[in-house]
Amino acid sequence: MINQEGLVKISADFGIILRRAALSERNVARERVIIAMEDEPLAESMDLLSFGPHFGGEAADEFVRRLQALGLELFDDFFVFQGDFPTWCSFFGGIQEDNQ
Amino acid sequence: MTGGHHTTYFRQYDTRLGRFWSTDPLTHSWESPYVAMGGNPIALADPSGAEPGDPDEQGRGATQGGPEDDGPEDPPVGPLREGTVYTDQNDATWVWQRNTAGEHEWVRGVMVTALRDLPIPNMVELLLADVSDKAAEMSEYHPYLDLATALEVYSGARSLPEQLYGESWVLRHGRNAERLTELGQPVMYDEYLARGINPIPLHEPSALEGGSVRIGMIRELQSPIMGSMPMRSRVFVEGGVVSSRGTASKGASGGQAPIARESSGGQIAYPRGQGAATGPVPENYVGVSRWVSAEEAKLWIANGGTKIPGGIGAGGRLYVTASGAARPGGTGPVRIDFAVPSGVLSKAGKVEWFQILQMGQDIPIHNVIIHYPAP
Repeated sequence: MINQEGLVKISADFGIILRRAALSERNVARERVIIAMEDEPLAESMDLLSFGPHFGGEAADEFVRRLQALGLELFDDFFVFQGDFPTWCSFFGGIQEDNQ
Repeated sequence: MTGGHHTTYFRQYDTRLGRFWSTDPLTHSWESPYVAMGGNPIALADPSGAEPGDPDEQGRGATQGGPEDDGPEDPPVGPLREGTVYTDQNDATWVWQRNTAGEHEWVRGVMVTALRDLPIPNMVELLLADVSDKAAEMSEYHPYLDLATALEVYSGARSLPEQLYGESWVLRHGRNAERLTELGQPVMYDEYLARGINPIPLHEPSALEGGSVRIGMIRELQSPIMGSMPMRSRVFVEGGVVSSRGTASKGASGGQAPIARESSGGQIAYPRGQGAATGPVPENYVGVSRWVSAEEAKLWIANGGTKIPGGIGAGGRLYVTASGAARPGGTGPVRIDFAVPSGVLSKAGKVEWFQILQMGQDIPIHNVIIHYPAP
């Protein structure tokens, strides 16, 4: 089951989705993430922070490095979402309720 | 090159001494049998080690112009564009460019077309000779450049010493390129460092301020036998004054440097020369920008701004912005402006962003200008 209230919009152009709980688990302040990402989130909920779109794979890789430097783990705490999709399709993401 | 000598067919040449190690098989009463290239490596080449000669007469194409610098005898009539190259009835080459007073004038030099179709050599030496009393003779080696590429780069520069000084002392492009050294003495930059000597102070532009460049040359180094050695050479500019910015320009009035300082304190580099960076572009070309690291900027300098360098981008795509767009997050501080055919641009995440598939790398690009931020 998905927590429908926690859905956030996701960019398919190298969007980065960050699990908010990871911030407290890793003792990383939200402000430090914002500084590292050079922008406010595209969307955020109680569960997730969504960043993007980003300027290609090189920029996404740079952001991954920055988040890892803060102590966050790729895949466990955040991931990059990218693909070639039609423009009429939007993507939203949320946390599975049994994972909260 | 690290051994400081070249092997020729007849004998070995010590680049540090500027002399051969053994006697000349063809001796002359008026000179030492150890002397190399008649003591005049700018004008003469000696590929075999036996007898120096005019590279032109040897069919390898060096040219030196005469002392006249008042402009072509039969100047073309009509509107001229900055950077226009004109060969007069005496086969002298002239460039129409602006001086520091903003006035256009004909500048002698840039003879670069004859060697384009020769076989690709393996090394190019760039020479400056007689830089007044500030420094006698200097050269710079580009092991990674072939002569055709060097000519392509420096012909675009129009007034070559400016490009040479700028790249040598400001950008220091090319990870293996030696710095300016005394003529014929290719001291490796890494060797300097290994010996605990920082070579950079030797090449401070201010050291040459006010000096005059009498002649400059691109010289190919290649040996069909073994090693490398001077094989053919080509004059690229005559006359000029080293300005306080470490650039050389024509006459006391000076010219425009391919590397200039921006009001923000940053610098602008023109891999193909300033004229080539500001001229008209082919139909259907559009200006774009790419924000990169200083390391990637070196690749654009190294290939002379003729095409998109290989090995950059990610996932088979190269991201660029529309000209004038803000720097995207996660990108480097150096902005490269260039023009590409509009047809190679695909949409990206924002309206001002585009992606170029890597297959577009072979397309020619134009008007490459590299903006470096203030340190």
